Amino acid sequence: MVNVNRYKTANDYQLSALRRYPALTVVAVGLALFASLLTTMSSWVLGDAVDELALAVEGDLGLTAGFIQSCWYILGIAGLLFITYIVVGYAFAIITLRWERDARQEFFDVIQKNSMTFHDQVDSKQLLAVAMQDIRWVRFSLNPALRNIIMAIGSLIIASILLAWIDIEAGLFPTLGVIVSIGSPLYLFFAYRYAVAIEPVRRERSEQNEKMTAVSQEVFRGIEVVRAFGTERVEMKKFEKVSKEYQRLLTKEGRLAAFYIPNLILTLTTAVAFIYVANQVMEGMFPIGTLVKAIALLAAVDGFSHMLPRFLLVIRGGHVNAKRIVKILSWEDPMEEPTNPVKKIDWKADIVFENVSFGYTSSDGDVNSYALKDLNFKIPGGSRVALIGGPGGGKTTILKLLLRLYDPSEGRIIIGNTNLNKVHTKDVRDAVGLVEQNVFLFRKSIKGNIAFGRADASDEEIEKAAERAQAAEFIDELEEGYETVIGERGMTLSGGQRQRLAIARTILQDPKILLLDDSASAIDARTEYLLRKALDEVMHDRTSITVTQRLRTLLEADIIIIVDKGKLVAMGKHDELLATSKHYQRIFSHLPEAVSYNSANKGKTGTNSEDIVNEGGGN
Amino acid sequence: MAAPRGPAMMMEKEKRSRPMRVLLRSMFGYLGQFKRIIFGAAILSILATIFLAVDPLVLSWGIDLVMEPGTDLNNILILGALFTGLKVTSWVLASINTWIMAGAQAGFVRSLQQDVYNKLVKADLSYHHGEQSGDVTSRVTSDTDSLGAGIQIIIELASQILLVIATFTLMWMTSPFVALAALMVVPVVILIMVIFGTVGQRIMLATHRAAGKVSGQIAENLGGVQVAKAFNREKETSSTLGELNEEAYRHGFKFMMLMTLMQPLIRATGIAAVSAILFVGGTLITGSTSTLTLGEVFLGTILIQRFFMPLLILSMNATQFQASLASMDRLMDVLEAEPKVRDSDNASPLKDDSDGIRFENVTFSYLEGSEVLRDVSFTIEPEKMVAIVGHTGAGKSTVASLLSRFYDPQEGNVLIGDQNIKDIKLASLHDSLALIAQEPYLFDGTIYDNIRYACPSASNEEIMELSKMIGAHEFIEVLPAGYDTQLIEEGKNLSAGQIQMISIARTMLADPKILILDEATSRLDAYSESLVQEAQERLFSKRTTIVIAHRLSTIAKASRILVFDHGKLVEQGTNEELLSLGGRYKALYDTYYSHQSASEISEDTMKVAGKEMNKVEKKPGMTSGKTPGKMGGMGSGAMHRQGQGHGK
Repeated sequence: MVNVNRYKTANDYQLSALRRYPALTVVAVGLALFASLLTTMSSWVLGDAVDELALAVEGDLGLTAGFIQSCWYILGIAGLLFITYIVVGYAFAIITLRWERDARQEFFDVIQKNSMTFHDQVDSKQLLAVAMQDIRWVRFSLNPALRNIIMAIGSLIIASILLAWIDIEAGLFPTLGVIVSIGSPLYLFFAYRYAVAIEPVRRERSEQNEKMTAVSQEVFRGIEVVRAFGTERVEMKKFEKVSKEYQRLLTKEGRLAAFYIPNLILTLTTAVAFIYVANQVMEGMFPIGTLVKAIALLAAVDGFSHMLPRFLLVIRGGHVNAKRIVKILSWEDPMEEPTNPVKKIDWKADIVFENVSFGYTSSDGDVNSYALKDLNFKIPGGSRVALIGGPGGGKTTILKLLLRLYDPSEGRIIIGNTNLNKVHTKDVRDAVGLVEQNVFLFRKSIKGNIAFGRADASDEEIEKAAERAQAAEFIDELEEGYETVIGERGMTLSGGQRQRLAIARTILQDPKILLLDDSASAIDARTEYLLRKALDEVMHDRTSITVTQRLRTLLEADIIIIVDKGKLVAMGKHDELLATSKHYQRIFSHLPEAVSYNSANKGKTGTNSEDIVNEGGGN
Repeated sequence: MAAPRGPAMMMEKEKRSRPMRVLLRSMFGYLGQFKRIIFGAAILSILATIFLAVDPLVLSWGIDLVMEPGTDLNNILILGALFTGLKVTSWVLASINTWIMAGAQAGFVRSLQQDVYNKLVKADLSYHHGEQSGDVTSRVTSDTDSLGAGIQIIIELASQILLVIATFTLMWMTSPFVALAALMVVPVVILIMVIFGTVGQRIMLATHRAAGKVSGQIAENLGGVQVAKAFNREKETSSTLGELNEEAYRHGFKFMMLMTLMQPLIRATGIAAVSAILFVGGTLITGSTSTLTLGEVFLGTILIQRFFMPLLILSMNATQFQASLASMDRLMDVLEAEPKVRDSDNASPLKDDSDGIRFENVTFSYLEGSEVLRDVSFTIEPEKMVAIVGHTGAGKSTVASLLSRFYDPQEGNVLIGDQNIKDIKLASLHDSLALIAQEPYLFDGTIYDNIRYACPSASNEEIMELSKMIGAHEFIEVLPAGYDTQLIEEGKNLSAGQIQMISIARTMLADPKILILDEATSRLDAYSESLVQEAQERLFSKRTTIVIAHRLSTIAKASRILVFDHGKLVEQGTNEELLSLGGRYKALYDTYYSHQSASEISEDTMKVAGKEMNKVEKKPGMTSGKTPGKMGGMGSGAMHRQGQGHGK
């Protein structure tokens, strides 16, 4: 389905949290500005208090009521600020954290829905990083960055207005207003310039950090290869290169923070304001408290001085992250769900490939070569098909197309007169079951894994499926049996055990068309024999396609299809192919079992069941 | 105002294995070439602080001066210039410090990174197998960063402490009462420290864990996305994630509120302290015996901020510093560890005429108490191919690992020719001996890069030629960008067989003198395997080779077979000898190698198959020479099976 992206631009995305709660946002921003006002007001009241104090000292009045009142005012402001701040923080937390939670969920849902073409192209590590970090950074850009910036700029503006008011109140030309209205924009300009200058460096640095992490992680994962080929030096050199670049960027970023001009501007503004107000006080135009007000207001602005560029940076950075996210979210899926899906399909009917071509899309979005090229064949309904061919021949691709993980680039796949792309993927995947080559198991109980395709399955059904897949025996030997939680990526089981669990999973799903992709390669001979017998039952009365290299599967197949380089080479029964297809003869001659035929002729081979191990894996 | 340090709060508290003294000493020790620069930077930082500490004094003089009748404007101008001068000087000094530190810190972090990395690349494999690769990587990246931050903190520490002391002294000189009133902020600082150290730490850890679960779930869901699709389980995986996500939200909310609480607490305390100082100052100044001036009262209100903030920063830094020490501790584990497997003092290169392999009473265990190999002795003659067979856990792969000297045996010796491999230079050993591991690992990079890994000088043509020979060319060619296709995530878009093929090409290109194949062709189809074997025969026929395999076709060609069982070498001999022995090998043979169900196939099919087999085998040349690229190789593969291989 072509993804209809809700967000047109990165801005849309970055601000979507605020849009979701407009009323709360207005309240939060309003209160944030109120907090700024309170902060600056405390400086103002301090000035008033000093005036009261000056009068008291002059008149030797002792502690005046006015002075004590001012002290209480300041304390009151502190209390009110405390409460306001918390309310603002709470509102912003609700707005932004809920957004973060839902944005992450939405991101996952969208990419999960994307067809496999997407997942082939994009590194899942990168997707994970976007889902976790990028979304978090977008949230950071709103909270705390935006929240603090609102307060910082609010304070700057309110302080500027109050400073201008000092002159106006006294009926003078607003000289202070002029001073701060030159200083503030300059201050903001340089703060912004710093943020702009440092942003690309910081981004580059964090990308370099990712690169460095990737380089070392890769080496440590493949340490055996490094060791075996003695390439330690090469790897050290490689690391030296990336880490030196990291050092360069880290230095650059750090140095940009030196000689931070806004501080200088603030100092000059304060000095000029100080001289002006001091002079006015001496001229008798202002009371002494005004000098205190001016200095204290500018000192309050100083408090935000270093915060401002840092948060500006986070906001700009959040924009870049939002861009990345929106780009992923707006990926257009070449696979569309049908508008009028066909619901009634005869899954037991013939399967026809009609001029089917398919190419995987490379990471740059191009299809450069074809995995299947102009493939034509017809599988009669209910038959057992064996699919063989060399690596890259297209066997797995054929199975994936039947599961509608992809649509053919050209041509059609028809099942019972219905073009497969007219069927909703959900219906296709209900009817078609695949046991994949590289078995993926989830980090949940064995029970949960077997019942993955059918959550409502009863314990009995699960155990029956396991039995049929020849998995029951080894599961029963596990301490916690069916409740055993499989380790990360199922690594604690042997290859053969995992394959059997995957088969059980598919048996439980009870698909109408069964696809097995080399599913028994790691299973030992005896188990495989038992498995075959069990699968005989499962395959009864349904179409099955098995990618295999086992002789017996070939012998018992109704049809053998040989593909090579994405093309059909030959198809037919074993006997026919052996007689007619050189390609098949060649493959057949290399089958290990075929070799053992000769041994079988020479000496009797029996099965010594006592020595049979149940664990698969062949190693 | 400095916001609380984020990263500091992110670090988990851990038990350190070394005392702080040792850690600090080695931290300074590691400064190495940067010692002088950093010392200089610290001086600058202290100077900047001194200038910073006195500037409020200038402003308070100003206030007092203005109050005095008849003050000349020039005096005010001088004070203005003095204020500007102090501020600018402090700014310049601090900026130079920042400038220098940026370079020194980055340099220090880098040299540390390289040291740690080099150490880890050479560390024993037992270390790597015991750790997650992500954890190892974080030694190189985050721990070194954290240590860099620690150095920064130590430098800041000096100036912050100086600022606290200088400010407090100034206040004391102004009025001891004001100074005492200023101490009211101390309980708040302690409160903040305690909140962070206890509840905060707990909430933070829970938040991290919850976020980690979300991350892990997303990673797993992405890994299994095809399975979820195949079974129509997208909704369920989504709702599983939803639950974890909700939990992470709840924890995150608590954490956020905690952080949100800090800011108003700090701000409100700052303002309340102003009120307190003002009141104390006011009381003193209006008192009868006051020597306090108005300017000094104001000075008190400014100084209280200068006292409060560095105290806060110090308390916050303490957490970060703890984290840096913990990082140092972990790094020392790495840096001080001496790899057990390394060149001995009298190591020499592998001699050209050293060939053949000998195990002499080798006993080995990965973990103490569970021996994987027990008293194993065998000899492999030079230029012979020997197969090793046995069940899972019999110790087959361990033989390969010991021979590659990934580990040293606890008892006994491994020899190549007459040289004990402990006395062979590792570089030379690995140049001459190559292992194709059971689970091949491909690096992110192009196919070319991967095949060329051990032989950087190989040309594209050579790589292609080799790939053709082992039958890999056909599938590589049809990849989206052919040989230039970028592999991601260890080659997730390739089948297991294709990954094996590439790793085989990589090793064959390296052209080793001794070859070990550990189930190297287990995921190949029979036909591809035969091509590989044929190439192997052509390129490596006269080299010492060990194959660990479960396929009869591989074993049958070995000059001898070693049968392992539970870490012991139990039988050895040729295929026929071992079969007629009727022991362990025979049992294995029947389980894995023979076509167990021949009796299941009807007699007729058997006959046909057998007959056809003979036909095919009798006409080896029928396919060769038609299309050299594709058919030629295949034909010769069939020939080879009869021992008539050509092209040697």
